[in-house]
Amino acid sequence: MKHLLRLMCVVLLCVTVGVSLPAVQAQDGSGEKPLWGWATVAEFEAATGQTLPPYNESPMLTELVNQGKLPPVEERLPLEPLVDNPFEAVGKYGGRLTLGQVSAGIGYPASNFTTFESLFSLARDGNTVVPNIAKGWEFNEDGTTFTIFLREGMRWSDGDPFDADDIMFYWEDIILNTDITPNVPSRFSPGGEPMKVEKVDQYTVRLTFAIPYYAILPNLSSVVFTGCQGDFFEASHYLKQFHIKYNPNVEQEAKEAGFETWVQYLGSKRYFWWRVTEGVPTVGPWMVVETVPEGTVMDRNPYYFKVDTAGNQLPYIDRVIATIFNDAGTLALKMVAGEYDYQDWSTSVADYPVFVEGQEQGNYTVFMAPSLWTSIAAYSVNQNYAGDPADAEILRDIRFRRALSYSLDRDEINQIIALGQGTPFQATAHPSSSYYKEEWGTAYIEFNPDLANQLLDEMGMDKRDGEGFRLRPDGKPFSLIISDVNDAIPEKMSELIKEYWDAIGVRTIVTPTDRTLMTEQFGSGEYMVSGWAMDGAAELAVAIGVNGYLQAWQWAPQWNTWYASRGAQGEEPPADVKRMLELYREVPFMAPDDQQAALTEIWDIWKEGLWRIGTIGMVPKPGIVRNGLGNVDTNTYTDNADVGIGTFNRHYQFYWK
Amino acid sequence: MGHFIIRRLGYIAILLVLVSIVSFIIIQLPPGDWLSAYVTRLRVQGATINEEIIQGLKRQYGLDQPPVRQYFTWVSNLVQGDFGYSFSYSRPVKDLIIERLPATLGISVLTILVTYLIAIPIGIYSATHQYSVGDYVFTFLGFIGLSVPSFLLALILMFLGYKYFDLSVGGLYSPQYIGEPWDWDKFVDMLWHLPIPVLIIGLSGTTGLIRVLRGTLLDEIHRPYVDTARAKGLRERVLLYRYPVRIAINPLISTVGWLLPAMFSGQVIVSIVLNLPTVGPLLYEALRAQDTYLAGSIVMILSLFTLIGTLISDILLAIVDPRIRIEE
Repeated sequence: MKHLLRLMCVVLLCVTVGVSLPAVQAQDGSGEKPLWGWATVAEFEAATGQTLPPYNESPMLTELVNQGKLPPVEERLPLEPLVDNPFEAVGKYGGRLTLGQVSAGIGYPASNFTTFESLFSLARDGNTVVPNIAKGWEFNEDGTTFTIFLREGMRWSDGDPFDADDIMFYWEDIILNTDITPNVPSRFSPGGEPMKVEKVDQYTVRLTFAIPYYAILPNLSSVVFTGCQGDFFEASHYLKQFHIKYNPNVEQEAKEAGFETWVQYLGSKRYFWWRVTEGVPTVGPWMVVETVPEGTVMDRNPYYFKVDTAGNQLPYIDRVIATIFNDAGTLALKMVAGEYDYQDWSTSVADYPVFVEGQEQGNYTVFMAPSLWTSIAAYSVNQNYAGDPADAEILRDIRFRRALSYSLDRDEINQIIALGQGTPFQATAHPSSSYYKEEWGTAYIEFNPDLANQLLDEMGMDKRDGEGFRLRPDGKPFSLIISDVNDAIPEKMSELIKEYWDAIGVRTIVTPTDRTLMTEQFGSGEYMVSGWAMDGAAELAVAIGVNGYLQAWQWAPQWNTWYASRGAQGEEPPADVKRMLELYREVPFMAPDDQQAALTEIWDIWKEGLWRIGTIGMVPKPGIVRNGLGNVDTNTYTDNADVGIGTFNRHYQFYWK
Repeated sequence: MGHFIIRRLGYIAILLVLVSIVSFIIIQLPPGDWLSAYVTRLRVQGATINEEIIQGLKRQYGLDQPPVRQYFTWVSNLVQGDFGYSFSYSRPVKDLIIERLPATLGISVLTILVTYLIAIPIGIYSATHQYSVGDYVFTFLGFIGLSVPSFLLALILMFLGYKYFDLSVGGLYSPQYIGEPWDWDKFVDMLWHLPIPVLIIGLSGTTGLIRVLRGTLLDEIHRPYVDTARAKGLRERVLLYRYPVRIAINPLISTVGWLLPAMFSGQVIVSIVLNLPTVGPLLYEALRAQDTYLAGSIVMILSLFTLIGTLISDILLAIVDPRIRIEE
């Protein structure tokens, strides 16, 4: 009854502000928008038959060139710059852009739009790897060597050349230095052996693997923020002064600067995509010039390596200001007040009517962006519950999990939580995956309380207490506790779920839990059920092996430990889980065809296991864009951390009309 | 007096050591450390991060050290005037605090001035015109001011400012001035943003002060010495300011000590609501993020200021009120 009331409120709200929700476009990249540009000028000219006009630059930079403070644009650009294809039109130079950042410590999401560039990138379809910093790549025949071709004459934002030395520094002095990196990460150790990295010449780097390793490409293409500065290359000319190999006095200097070791000192100077680091040169379209208490100030990078189809050096906009919003509530307020020129991230579909109402006063337009999450909230049922063994046995019973899933009225959830904009869905692979099977998304999602009750009766939970709640098979009372991390899933979601589960006689209690405490409990196993989005489900993120859920994270702490320690610790899982875990460990190192077959088998096992109970997926998120801002793709992904933030809406293309 | 001050300084040193231990333990109490809190925060906001990368970072943040060792490093640096560095900002704590000091002190000093300027005259008026219409009006307003939480007031004023004056209220100046050098326009813009925080932060203090002042003054006004002075023909105004008011001011002086830490931190909740770049929100965020050295250092400075402030008000009281000197 309570949720019916809530539903009415939502409907009324929509009616009163006169909103009709737009249908969300298909996210298959249909339409005529350019998916990407060209790796080099030569490729652009060959593909279009046009000649690229002479290079042009922002008037702001021309002034500096005339004053002799900057070399001319031809010298600042690489010999072969990347030619980007503007989304709508060739833009105009100038102006400033206000974006958001989470906190002073978290430069996200603005930092990803401004300073983030990876070796390779993704086209707007989110699946095709394209050149970016590197102008090309080459696998040998059996996939055991991978060659990266860099751009001759490319420069860092301070004018220093960007070349193979910047990758070699990262590899030899960061990754292979055991003071900084105790173990080489497994994604750089295919077959259990660290790959070999060699500098072929100043602009060519070759990686050699013990076994074929095709997933190295998505692993350097911004998928889950990989292949960027701090992840595969570094501003070596700048960082050397903080590295003991190049500066014997660094230990002393670190102490003077207030650090305990030179490793911490170096760590504080490195670029990381998720934070704001002053002083370090970047290769992104903008560079940090100042951090202020309100946020970050960024100016254009005069050495940025991309031009548009008219030969204009990108970006168009001179200055970016990122202001801190701290939490989702404040963010929504600031968006409504028109404080941001563009913001599409960490928003909630429930705020859509509010955003629409503020459109005129805030001088912005609202759009709905598609999502890659197959569940906005999926409830992980702990298979290694550390509490009462009889409770643990119930959680491990597949009939129990099916009953929980059948009891949910996902259409109603969709109306209440997502204004009807989502899709009732199981927590599984994203439907855009090339190997996707429809049954994965629809398994056990029908609303069937009778079947749910029948399953629970079969389990021996047919006896009930005075209030009508089911007793355990041994006759003792049973309570299902949802540990609810309120900023991980939509507000009220868990209360709604509780009502459905109460309705089939499963006494459900919602306990608010701090997110950090929850993460600890995901390790210790002291929880029964917890809700979290089904993220990381897009094809490439799954393929490079970073989907934690397929490693039993969140739903089976002991099995997850067993997996992570390769059997040394934790408990050995049952055969189906074991098969899934072992297959998934090999996935990144498989040839593409084998990989598809393996992932199909993995998601088949996943479907039957039902360890995470999905609710509604592909719930679009509202975004806002200031009127008059050009080249904005409103069909962009917002929760696209899975595929690398910033690879869809290219802020360096934005311009003021 | 000299002995008294030296003894008190000794207590302060001991208390500071205890505060450093307790605050360090409390900051470490929540589960996990800065890095895990950080990663979780990214995770709930939808960023998938490779677990391996995070583990590799522990050493670069010095979080692989046992807490006892972290404590001693921090304290030995503190003694040398080095507050360590902030994990969140990857910058020295000292810089972060100094950066926020002008705004913090500016708002605080203004607020205190406004508080005194409003509260003292009204308090005196209310006491000397007890049960008059003016007294009732001020009393009524005063109780409202005391009972409405200041953050709520901040929210209401922000809404009104936004709705009717088209004022972007949060912050010290409009977003378009962030990162721009100071010029006349930016200064004027800041002046427009100042009244709301100053009024809101000042208001709760003001109303409290009015009540205290009115109460003590009423006690004094009816004392025999006042009647005697009046009988001797002293002018009413001179009489009032020279004797009862001087005594009624005592509660003000004994709370001067609290002003010092309050000036340093600013009003935390109001500053968060109004998005003011002061030290208060810095502390709040540092505690939430388990940014150990930043939070610990601010707590230490606050404690130091509280202790010194109390000492100062004790000394001031002794100077201002001869009775206290004699009792000692």
